[in-house]
Amino acid sequence: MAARPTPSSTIVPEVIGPPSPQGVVVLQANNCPHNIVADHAKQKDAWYVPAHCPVFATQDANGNATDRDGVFHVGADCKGLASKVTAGEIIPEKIVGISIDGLYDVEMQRAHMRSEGANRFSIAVAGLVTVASSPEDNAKFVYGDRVYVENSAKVERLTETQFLGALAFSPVKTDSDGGDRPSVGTYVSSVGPEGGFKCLLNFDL
Amino acid sequence: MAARLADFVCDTIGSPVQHQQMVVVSAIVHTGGTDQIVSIPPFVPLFYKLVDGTTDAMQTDGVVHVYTGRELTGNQAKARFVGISIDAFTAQLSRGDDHNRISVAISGMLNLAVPQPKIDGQPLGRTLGFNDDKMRYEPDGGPTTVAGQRAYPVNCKPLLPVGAGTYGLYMGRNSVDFDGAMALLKAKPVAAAYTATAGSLGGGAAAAVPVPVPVPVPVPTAAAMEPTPQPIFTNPALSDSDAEGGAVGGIKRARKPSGKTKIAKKKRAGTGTGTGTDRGDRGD
Repeated sequence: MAARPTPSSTIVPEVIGPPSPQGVVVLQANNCPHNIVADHAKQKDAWYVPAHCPVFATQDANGNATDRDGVFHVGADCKGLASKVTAGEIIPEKIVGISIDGLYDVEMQRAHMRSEGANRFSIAVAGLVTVASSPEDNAKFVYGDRVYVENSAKVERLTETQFLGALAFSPVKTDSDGGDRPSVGTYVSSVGPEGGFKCLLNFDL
Repeated sequence: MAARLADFVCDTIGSPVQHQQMVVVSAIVHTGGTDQIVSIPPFVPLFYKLVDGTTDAMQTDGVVHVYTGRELTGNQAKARFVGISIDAFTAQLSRGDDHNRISVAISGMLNLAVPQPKIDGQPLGRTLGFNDDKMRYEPDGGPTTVAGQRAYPVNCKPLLPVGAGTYGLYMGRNSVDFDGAMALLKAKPVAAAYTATAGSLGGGAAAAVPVPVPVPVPVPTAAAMEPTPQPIFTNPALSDSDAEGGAVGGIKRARKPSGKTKIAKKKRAGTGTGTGTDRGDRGD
């Protein structure tokens, strides 16, 4: 019998003093966990976007991408994805960016979801950027390893919430079901002993 | 049945996004050996121009020839893709090579000329690639026309979010009211063999250049290897005011002690009369 979908037990600390991004390409996105959770308007925790966290594109009920005036909807909370997973890890299909700053004012985010521009923020889609991670995950990598999202994990600053970020990483591409994990990029180095790593982004590995 | 010319049309791109981290290379717009004006629209893929009947790419002085490659199939386009044009450009054979060089973006966040119907419903982050689709940029003759010249059709090969390519990622549309998309292009040059053309923008390959025969180097004789005395260079512009410099190749001769030095020595020995220091008394 297949294991129930469960997140990683690791708790990812906040990255303090991340190094400056290099060669970064930024993209504007709309924070909207549309269709990730059944009723995203009522799920406050689904609106969190921690800093240096992978984000993924959200979809409508038919699997199509959603946007507002051409600016795509993205989300960072994997909790809602659990309902779409029957076994194994709770991970999105594809990463589309890494948040540069965090969005923690979720009440405002949710309250202004109908407003133009209130939910917009910038994500890094290319370049060398910092990704939040646990020190245990950093120990799996050496310079040049490919980084795949292995599972979702809680964030230290948000342990009291239901938020789960795509923040457990592995150098192994294949998941327990034989499928491909989404890639983040190439590992360069850890930021420090508390966690976080520098990653040359490539979501197509 | 071959696809018709106007498979779909891309209008002017509205609100082009800022290019980010763009990397460009230089290329020469291929004119096909005639003096007609060749228009390159902005933000369209450009491809290697091959020598007819071969798989070699044309080049002049190491700069590859490119064109819009409308007739290419999807697989041909994959093998010959160079990059994206970053502005409108016109080339003409009679202007010469230097005036027909175009900058081609090969990496970074760029604009991409794509009609709205081709990107509607496409998800963020979908990979860009080629299929057999064709495109005409601006149905009314292209973005640039020259007075007195016929406007040539600007036929292109579109780079689309097909989900199977490896050239980059679809990053959204430029504007909801205009054609055009944002593309995150990856630096992934496609290898090609090269054939130098006839030094211009002509259509044919250059004639074969004979390999130069190496000239034999004469072996030096023993007498020739004897060292010959070299003249010693003395610069006439430099004066030798105290006449102590060498007239012999800069080698200084030993100085003659001057009368003052003798006096100073006497002073140190307690036989002189002066009170000045040795350095000051020497006066040199």
